[in-house]
Amino acid sequence: MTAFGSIVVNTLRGFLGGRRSWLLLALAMIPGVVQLIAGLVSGSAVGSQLYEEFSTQVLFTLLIPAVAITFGANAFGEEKRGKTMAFLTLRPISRWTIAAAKLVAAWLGASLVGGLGAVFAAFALGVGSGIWTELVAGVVGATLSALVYAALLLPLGLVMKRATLAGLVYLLLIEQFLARTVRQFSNLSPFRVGTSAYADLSQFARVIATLEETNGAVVAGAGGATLKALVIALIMWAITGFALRELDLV
Amino acid sequence: MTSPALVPNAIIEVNDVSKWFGDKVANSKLTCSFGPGVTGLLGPNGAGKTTLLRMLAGLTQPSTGSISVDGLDPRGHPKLFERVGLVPEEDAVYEFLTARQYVTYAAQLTGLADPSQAAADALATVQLTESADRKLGEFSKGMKQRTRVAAAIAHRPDILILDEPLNGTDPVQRARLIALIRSLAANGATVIVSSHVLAEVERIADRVLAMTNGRLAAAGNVEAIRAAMIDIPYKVRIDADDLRGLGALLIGHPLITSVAIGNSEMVIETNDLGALGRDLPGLAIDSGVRITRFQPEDMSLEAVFGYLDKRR
Repeated sequence: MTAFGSIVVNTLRGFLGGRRSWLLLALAMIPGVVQLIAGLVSGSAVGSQLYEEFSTQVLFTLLIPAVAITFGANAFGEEKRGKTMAFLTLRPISRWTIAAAKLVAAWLGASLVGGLGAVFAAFALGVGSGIWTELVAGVVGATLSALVYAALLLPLGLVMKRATLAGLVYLLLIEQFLARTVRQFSNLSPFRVGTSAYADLSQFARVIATLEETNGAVVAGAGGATLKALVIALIMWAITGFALRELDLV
Repeated sequence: MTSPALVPNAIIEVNDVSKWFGDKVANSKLTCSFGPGVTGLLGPNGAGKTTLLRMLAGLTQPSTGSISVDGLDPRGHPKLFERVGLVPEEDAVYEFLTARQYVTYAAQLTGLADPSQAAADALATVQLTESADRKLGEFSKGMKQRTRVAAAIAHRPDILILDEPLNGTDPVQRARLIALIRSLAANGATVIVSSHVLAEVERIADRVLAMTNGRLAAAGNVEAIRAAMIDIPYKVRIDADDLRGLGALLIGHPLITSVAIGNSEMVIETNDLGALGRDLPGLAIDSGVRITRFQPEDMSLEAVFGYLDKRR
């Protein structure tokens, strides 16, 4: 395995290993399970209403951002806290490679959790309401959303001790509260990248209407969203690589 | 070549290096070099050893001055790390990995062709083969330390930097690690070992750089460092049933440089603690004085280095 691959694998081991994986799996399943039970007990209309008003909201504005923020901030944060930065960086590999591997690991981890959540929710919608169109849209939206949040937090985890806390405070105060109150904030929120791709690929129009109603105008466009996510990721990778080269790492 | 801090066949060169963090000066105007063999970096906690080692490894940038490893700045030349192994001071490992996974990971990061075999060989070298598949979180401090040494030597570096490598190890492990370090040096490696224990450095190193307060206090072989310390006066606190009688005997004794008698104890100063320890019982018996306490003070390494620092 290459150095890049081994950093990705070992970072993912740290993120998803042990009991943490069960906790993350449980978190990812919550929206889908709630929706499935409600749909089975109360009928397909309730199931699809929950998908529209609960599952997609929880997934795109809370679960995926929270997991991606945590993984993005901890990609280097855990190395710094665990004092293993020297182990990682004193190697014959460029700091850009290390930054890229950490970004990919945080993205893959968050995409796995968010993607599973999207799959469970889409599956529950299919079982409860017979609508089987949302799987791809959910997974693509989750993946792009995970990339944006993980990338934004990657350099922060390198320079800040409490980057996870800062990210989660931002999520809860700005995105969950302020962005819903003041539309201008909503338009700047990173979750809109994921929902934009989702809106383009989804065939469940009511979901988009609800997302817009709650979170501000969502411009459908999977291509634009992908481009935005990639540009954000590239910029954050460059900042992280530069910081790794220039900063004292202990 | 005049300074004993410099060696003729230097692989690592430190040129007028200072490092400060905010107001705190960690290293001040250090000039020294390191070549093949074991160099001990000796000094009390806070002397600046770890900061120097981190700069040698490129983890930290000097505030002023320059460092070169084989002619290159260790920062910005990652290829150098094909030849460098580092065991940092921190007791840091990935606790969720097994020892084998950890050392294999180190070998993969170094780009070895067969990381698994390299890891197995390195673990065997530090006698950890039997525990190789246990999680590092279950390891004792000494076992973690040996695992970190295995990770540092898996790619057979010819420059090895070890920050307090014997910390947490038991006497048997300590002897094995010392033998390992010496064998690496015997094969031509440049090995730098930091320690705050003189006896430890004496067993490992051919050459010693003594540091205190961020500066070099002495350099040379162990004998030279010992010679630099020989005239340090030791304070000894003595309790006896007849302090004044004992005091009268000790004043004027050739080994004693000062005597201070208090109400319940006496403090003397001597330049030769060992000889005094041998002479004093006989003196006490001859004069019928019963000594109840003989406690050397001021013998901490901090005191010794403080003395060296004052002499500079």
